[in-house]
Amino acid sequence: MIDETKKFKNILDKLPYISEAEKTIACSLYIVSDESKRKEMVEFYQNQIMEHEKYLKEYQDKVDAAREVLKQKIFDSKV
Amino acid sequence: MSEGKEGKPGWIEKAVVGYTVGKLEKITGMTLDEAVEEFKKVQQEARGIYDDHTKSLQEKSLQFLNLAADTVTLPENKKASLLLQTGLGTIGIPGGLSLGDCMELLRVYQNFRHGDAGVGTAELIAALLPGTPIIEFGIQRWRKKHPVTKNPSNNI
Repeated sequence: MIDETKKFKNILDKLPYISEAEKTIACSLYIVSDESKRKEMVEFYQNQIMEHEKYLKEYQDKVDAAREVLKQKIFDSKV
Repeated sequence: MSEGKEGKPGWIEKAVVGYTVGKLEKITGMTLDEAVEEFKKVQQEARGIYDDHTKSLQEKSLQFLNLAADTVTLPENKKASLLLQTGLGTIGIPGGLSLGDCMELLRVYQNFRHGDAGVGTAELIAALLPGTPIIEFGIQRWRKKHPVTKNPSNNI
Protein backbone atom coordinates (compact mmCIF):
# COMPACT_ATOMS: atom_id res chain seq x y z
CA MET A 1 0.00 0.00 0.00
CA ILE A 2 2.88 2.38 0.76
CA ASP A 3 4.34 1.75 -2.70
CA GLU A 4 0.96 2.43 -4.24
CA THR A 5 0.68 5.74 -2.37
CA LYS A 6 4.21 6.68 -3.41
CA LYS A 7 3.31 6.03 -7.04
CA PHE A 8 0.32 8.30 -6.60
CA LYS A 9 2.51 11.01 -5.07
CA ASN A 10 4.92 10.65 -7.99
CA ILE A 11 2.03 11.46 -10.31
CA LEU A 12 1.25 14.58 -8.26
CA ASP A 13 4.91 15.62 -8.33
CA LYS A 14 4.69 15.96 -12.11
CA LEU A 15 2.27 18.86 -11.71
CA PRO A 16 4.25 21.99 -10.82
CA TYR A 17 1.19 24.03 -9.90
CA ILE A 18 0.03 21.71 -7.11
CA SER A 19 1.26 22.82 -3.69
CA GLU A 20 2.80 20.48 -1.13
CA ALA A 21 -0.21 21.03 1.15
CA GLU A 22 -2.55 20.02 -1.66
CA LYS A 23 -0.43 16.94 -2.34
CA THR A 24 -0.65 15.99 1.34
CA ILE A 25 -4.41 16.26 1.23
CA ALA A 26 -4.65 14.35 -2.03
CA CYS A 27 -2.43 11.56 -0.62
CA SER A 28 -4.47 11.34 2.57
CA LEU A 29 -7.66 11.13 0.54
CA TYR A 30 -6.07 8.49 -1.66
CA ILE A 31 -5.19 6.39 1.37
CA VAL A 32 -8.67 6.44 2.85
CA SER A 33 -10.49 6.00 -0.46
CA ASP A 34 -11.80 2.76 -1.89
CA GLU A 35 -10.39 1.17 -5.04
CA SER A 36 -12.75 2.85 -7.51
CA LYS A 37 -12.16 6.29 -6.01
CA ARG A 38 -8.41 5.75 -6.16
CA LYS A 39 -8.67 4.81 -9.80
CA GLU A 40 -10.69 7.96 -10.43
CA MET A 41 -8.07 10.08 -8.66
CA VAL A 42 -5.21 8.55 -10.65
CA GLU A 43 -7.08 9.10 -13.93
CA PHE A 44 -7.90 12.69 -13.00
CA TYR A 45 -4.31 13.64 -12.24
CA GLN A 46 -2.94 11.73 -15.24
CA ASN A 47 -5.32 13.72 -17.44
CA GLN A 48 -4.03 16.87 -15.78
CA ILE A 49 -0.48 15.84 -16.66
CA MET A 50 -1.48 15.36 -20.31
CA GLU A 51 -3.29 18.71 -20.42
CA HIS A 52 -0.37 20.46 -18.79
CA GLU A 53 2.08 18.91 -21.24
CA LYS A 54 -0.14 20.04 -24.12
CA TYR A 55 -0.20 23.66 -22.85
CA LEU A 56 3.52 23.59 -22.19
CA LYS A 57 4.17 22.38 -25.74
CA GLU A 58 1.91 25.10 -27.17
CA TYR A 59 3.93 27.69 -25.27
CA GLN A 60 7.24 26.24 -26.44
CA ASP A 61 6.05 26.02 -30.05
CA LYS A 62 4.98 29.67 -30.06
CA VAL A 63 8.30 30.79 -28.62
CA ASP A 64 10.22 28.60 -31.08
CA ALA A 65 8.23 30.05 -33.99
CA ALA A 66 8.92 33.62 -32.83
CA ARG A 67 12.59 32.75 -32.43
CA GLU A 68 12.71 31.44 -36.00
CA VAL A 69 11.10 34.65 -37.31
CA LEU A 70 13.67 36.77 -35.49
CA LYS A 71 16.52 34.55 -36.61
CA GLN A 72 15.33 34.84 -40.20
CA LYS A 73 15.23 38.63 -39.95
CA ILE A 74 18.80 38.66 -38.78
CA PHE A 75 19.97 36.21 -41.44
CA ASP A 76 18.09 38.12 -44.15
CA SER A 77 20.14 41.17 -43.30
CA LYS A 78 23.24 39.45 -44.67
CA VAL A 79 24.14 40.88 -48.06
CA MET B 1 16.82 29.95 -22.86
CA SER B 2 20.26 31.32 -22.14
CA GLU B 3 20.59 35.07 -21.87
CA GLY B 4 23.48 36.97 -23.38
CA LYS B 5 24.65 40.48 -22.79
CA GLU B 6 22.00 43.10 -22.01
CA GLY B 7 19.34 40.41 -21.70
CA LYS B 8 19.53 39.32 -25.34
CA PRO B 9 19.23 35.60 -25.97
CA GLY B 10 22.68 34.06 -26.36
CA TRP B 11 21.97 32.66 -29.81
CA ILE B 12 21.26 36.17 -31.13
CA GLU B 13 24.73 37.30 -30.17
CA LYS B 14 26.15 34.32 -32.03
CA ALA B 15 23.88 34.92 -34.99
CA VAL B 16 24.95 38.49 -35.49
CA VAL B 17 28.61 37.63 -35.61
CA GLY B 18 29.68 38.39 -39.18
CA TYR B 19 26.63 40.51 -39.87
CA THR B 20 26.13 44.18 -39.29
CA VAL B 21 23.26 45.39 -37.19
CA GLY B 22 22.99 48.35 -39.55
CA LYS B 23 22.03 46.03 -42.40
CA LEU B 24 19.23 44.53 -40.33
CA GLU B 25 17.87 48.01 -39.80
CA LYS B 26 18.23 48.89 -43.44
CA ILE B 27 16.43 45.81 -44.74
CA THR B 28 13.75 45.23 -42.10
CA GLY B 29 13.40 48.78 -40.81
CA MET B 30 13.97 47.37 -37.37
CA THR B 31 16.96 47.67 -35.07
CA LEU B 32 18.29 44.58 -33.36
CA ASP B 33 16.92 45.82 -30.05
CA GLU B 34 13.47 46.30 -31.60
CA ALA B 35 13.60 42.84 -33.13
CA VAL B 36 14.54 41.35 -29.78
CA GLU B 37 11.76 43.31 -28.08
CA GLU B 38 9.30 41.95 -30.59
CA PHE B 39 10.46 38.43 -29.85
CA LYS B 40 10.17 39.03 -26.11
CA LYS B 41 6.66 40.39 -26.57
CA VAL B 42 5.56 37.20 -28.32
CA GLN B 43 7.30 35.16 -25.63
CA GLN B 44 5.49 37.07 -22.86
CA GLU B 45 2.13 36.68 -24.59
CA ALA B 46 2.70 32.93 -24.96
CA ARG B 47 3.71 32.75 -21.31
CA GLY B 48 0.55 34.61 -20.29
CA ILE B 49 -1.62 32.10 -22.16
CA TYR B 50 0.29 29.21 -20.59
CA ASP B 51 -0.14 30.74 -17.11
CA ASP B 52 -3.89 31.14 -17.70
CA HIS B 53 -4.15 27.48 -18.69
CA THR B 54 -2.11 26.44 -15.66
CA LYS B 55 -4.33 28.49 -13.36
CA SER B 56 -7.37 26.81 -14.87
CA LEU B 57 -5.84 23.36 -14.26
CA GLN B 58 -5.02 24.39 -10.70
CA GLU B 59 -8.63 25.43 -10.06
CA LYS B 60 -9.92 22.18 -11.56
CA SER B 61 -7.56 20.23 -9.32
CA LEU B 62 -8.77 22.05 -6.22
CA GLN B 63 -12.41 21.53 -7.18
CA PHE B 64 -11.75 17.84 -7.71
CA LEU B 65 -10.03 17.58 -4.34
CA ASN B 66 -12.87 19.37 -2.57
CA LEU B 67 -15.41 17.11 -4.23
CA ALA B 68 -13.38 14.02 -3.38
CA ALA B 69 -13.17 15.19 0.25
CA ASP B 70 -16.93 15.62 0.34
CA THR B 71 -17.75 12.28 -1.20
CA VAL B 72 -15.18 9.92 0.29
CA THR B 73 -16.77 7.38 2.61
CA LEU B 74 -14.89 6.55 5.77
CA PRO B 75 -15.35 3.56 8.06
CA GLU B 76 -16.93 4.26 11.44
CA ASN B 77 -13.76 3.47 13.37
CA LYS B 78 -11.78 6.28 11.77
CA LYS B 79 -12.24 8.95 14.37
CA ALA B 80 -9.55 11.51 13.73
CA SER B 81 -10.31 14.52 11.68
CA LEU B 82 -7.97 16.39 9.43
CA LEU B 83 -8.09 20.04 8.64
CA LEU B 84 -5.30 21.52 6.61
CA GLN B 85 -4.57 25.06 5.61
CA THR B 86 -3.55 25.38 2.01
CA GLY B 87 -2.40 28.39 0.11
CA LEU B 88 -5.71 28.29 -1.70
CA GLY B 89 -8.01 28.18 1.30
CA THR B 90 -9.07 25.78 4.00
CA ILE B 91 -10.10 22.29 3.10
CA GLY B 92 -11.87 20.12 5.61
CA ILE B 93 -11.71 16.37 5.21
CA PRO B 94 -14.74 14.82 6.87
CA GLY B 95 -14.13 11.87 9.12
CA GLY B 96 -10.36 11.64 8.92
CA LEU B 97 -7.59 9.12 9.01
CA SER B 98 -6.97 5.99 10.99
CA LEU B 99 -3.71 5.56 12.93
CA GLY B 100 -2.34 3.34 10.19
CA ASP B 101 -3.32 5.87 7.57
CA CYS B 102 -1.53 8.65 9.46
CA MET B 103 1.63 6.60 9.81
CA GLU B 104 1.55 5.66 6.17
CA LEU B 105 1.09 9.25 5.12
CA LEU B 106 4.03 10.25 7.27
CA ARG B 107 6.16 7.50 5.81
CA VAL B 108 5.33 8.63 2.30
CA TYR B 109 6.64 12.05 3.17
CA GLN B 110 9.63 10.43 4.90
CA ASN B 111 10.28 13.16 7.40
CA PHE B 112 8.77 11.78 10.57
CA ARG B 113 10.97 11.23 13.62
CA HIS B 114 9.90 10.46 17.15
CA GLY B 115 9.66 13.75 19.03
CA ASP B 116 10.52 15.68 15.93
CA ALA B 117 8.09 17.75 13.97
CA GLY B 118 9.34 18.02 10.42
CA VAL B 119 7.47 20.04 7.85
CA GLY B 120 5.03 17.35 6.84
CA THR B 121 4.70 16.08 10.40
CA ALA B 122 4.12 19.54 11.82
CA GLU B 123 1.49 20.07 9.18
CA LEU B 124 -0.24 16.87 10.14
CA ILE B 125 0.07 17.34 13.90
CA ALA B 126 -1.26 20.87 13.62
CA ALA B 127 -4.10 19.58 11.55
CA LEU B 128 -5.24 16.91 13.96
CA LEU B 129 -7.95 17.92 16.34
CA PRO B 130 -6.63 19.27 19.66
CA GLY B 131 -6.40 16.66 22.38
CA THR B 132 -6.26 13.71 20.01
CA PRO B 133 -3.21 11.61 21.06
CA ILE B 134 -3.24 9.83 17.76
CA ILE B 135 0.40 10.47 16.78
CA GLU B 136 1.91 9.25 20.04
CA PHE B 137 -0.37 6.24 20.10
CA GLY B 138 0.61 5.53 16.53
CA ILE B 139 4.29 5.51 17.44
CA GLN B 140 3.73 3.18 20.39
CA ARG B 141 1.84 0.80 18.19
CA TRP B 142 4.59 0.95 15.58
CA ARG B 143 7.24 0.23 18.26
CA LYS B 144 5.46 -2.92 19.32
CA LYS B 145 5.77 -4.11 15.76
CA HIS B 146 9.42 -2.99 15.46
CA PRO B 147 11.10 -3.70 18.86
CA VAL B 148 14.59 -3.81 17.30
CA THR B 149 14.69 -0.06 16.91
CA LYS B 150 16.02 1.34 20.18
CA ASN B 151 16.95 4.87 19.26
CA PRO B 152 13.78 6.93 19.45
CA SER B 153 15.16 9.42 16.96
CA ASN B 154 15.48 6.81 14.22
CA ASN B 155 13.35 7.31 11.19
CA ILE B 156 10.07 5.51 11.30
